[in-house]
Amino acid sequence: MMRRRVVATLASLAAGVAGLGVATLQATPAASVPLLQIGKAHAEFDPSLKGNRPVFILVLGSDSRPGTPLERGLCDSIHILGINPKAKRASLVGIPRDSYVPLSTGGTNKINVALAQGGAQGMIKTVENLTGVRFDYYVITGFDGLTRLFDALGGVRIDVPYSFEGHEGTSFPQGKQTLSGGQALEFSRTRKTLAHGDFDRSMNQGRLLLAALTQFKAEFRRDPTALFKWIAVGMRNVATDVPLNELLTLAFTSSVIGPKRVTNLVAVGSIGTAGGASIVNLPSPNPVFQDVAADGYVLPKDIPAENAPSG
Amino acid sequence: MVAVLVIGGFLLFGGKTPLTDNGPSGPGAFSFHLGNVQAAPITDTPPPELKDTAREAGTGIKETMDELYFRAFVDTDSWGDYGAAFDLFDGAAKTRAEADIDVLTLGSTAKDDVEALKTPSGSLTISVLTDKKDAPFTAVAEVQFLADAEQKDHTTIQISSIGSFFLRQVDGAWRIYAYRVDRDDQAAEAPSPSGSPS
Repeated sequence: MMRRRVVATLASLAAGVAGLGVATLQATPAASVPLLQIGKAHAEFDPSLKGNRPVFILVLGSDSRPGTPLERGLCDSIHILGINPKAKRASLVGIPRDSYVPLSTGGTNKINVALAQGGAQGMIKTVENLTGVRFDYYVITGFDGLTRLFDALGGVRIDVPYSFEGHEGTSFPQGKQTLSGGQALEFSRTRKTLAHGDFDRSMNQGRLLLAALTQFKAEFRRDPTALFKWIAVGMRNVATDVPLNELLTLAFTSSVIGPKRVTNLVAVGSIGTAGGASIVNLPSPNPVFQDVAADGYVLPKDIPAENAPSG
Repeated sequence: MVAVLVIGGFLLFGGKTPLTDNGPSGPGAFSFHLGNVQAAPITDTPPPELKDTAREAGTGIKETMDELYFRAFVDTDSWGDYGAAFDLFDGAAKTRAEADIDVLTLGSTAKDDVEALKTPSGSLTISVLTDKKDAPFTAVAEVQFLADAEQKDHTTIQISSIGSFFLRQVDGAWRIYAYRVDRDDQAAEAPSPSGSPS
């Protein structure tokens, strides 16, 4: 530790050279000064993800039922997670499942069929073509996985922005509450009782991810071994191509990104029909996609009002 | 005659003890008390089934942590020059550890300031994250270390170091790649007046 005696010694030397005040300085015996600095000192974890290059992860929720491969389901939850390590900022951009887009496997259809038709790679390619984002990794979970994940974590603490009733009858009052795995699934699936339907649902899915990030950050700060609990529970309940060492790096990085530096928004478009089905026509070019593709995040001030439906 | 004593002393102490030794002194080794060692599997394997895997990793991790605190605090020969301690850090963490010398060690001026380090003690718990083959991938070591640094001015500082160290295997040895450490060193209570004549 820095030594206070060094200061006293330098002062003595200076005074000696000047020929002034030596007696005064020597009146305070060096032996009465603590040699080692006492008090508190701290060294904090240093996330190893560096640089200005953003990292992009495609976060998907499949509606595949138990016993069915995740990649055979329809994608009811599609989010771009962009992380900029240098800026210590991130964004979650939800893409409505009814977005009517060209599929990487051919033809134009609702984006949520891209997973079932082309697997994870087909879904990734479809979203890349749509947004201009190049993904580093993907994560997929299903109904069972999401339920088990949040149950294993002891629930998820979330601030619900407005009261609504879930599609299975669960009441979600406005305010902070802890959701079980089953409640978290219902929270993220409900759309018919929400003012803006699928747009609001996508927003709520982003809220759930943000709540999980907030909870992880708090637990990790309190107890660093929580990192392993989150990784172990996560890896047991999702399918992903994120290597374990990269997952650790991302976890360290996310632990230093405050929730207020993560923006949650939805890519909205106009409602239309195709073949009798309700669809969403996204604008092209899309300023939200362009913004997040550029550096991994969208600043709150740059979020168009319509891209943050219902709060 | 003097020369004989000098040479004899040199041979007797293996050349490690200064001939005019008014320098610091301390115990010759340090060992943490090892508490709980547990596995955190990313597979569906129940953690109790990986107890032996975690224990085996824990042995190597304990060796690294024992060595770190020995070199950083207990070993008088290392005081002021903590290269052997910093060698236990991997990659960018080593550079960072060197910058955190005041938090991670007894300090760069310990050799000048400290007479002896007494009653070093510490406890260690370990959690091991295993990979998809249930092999150790990384670990976190939680340590609490206490000691009394008796200074050359005859005051005593109670050293307290509480840390979380993330380790991974590098060339067969466990090395630290991330850490968070809190120091809370306090002046020990001064001994009561001896009543010696003024």
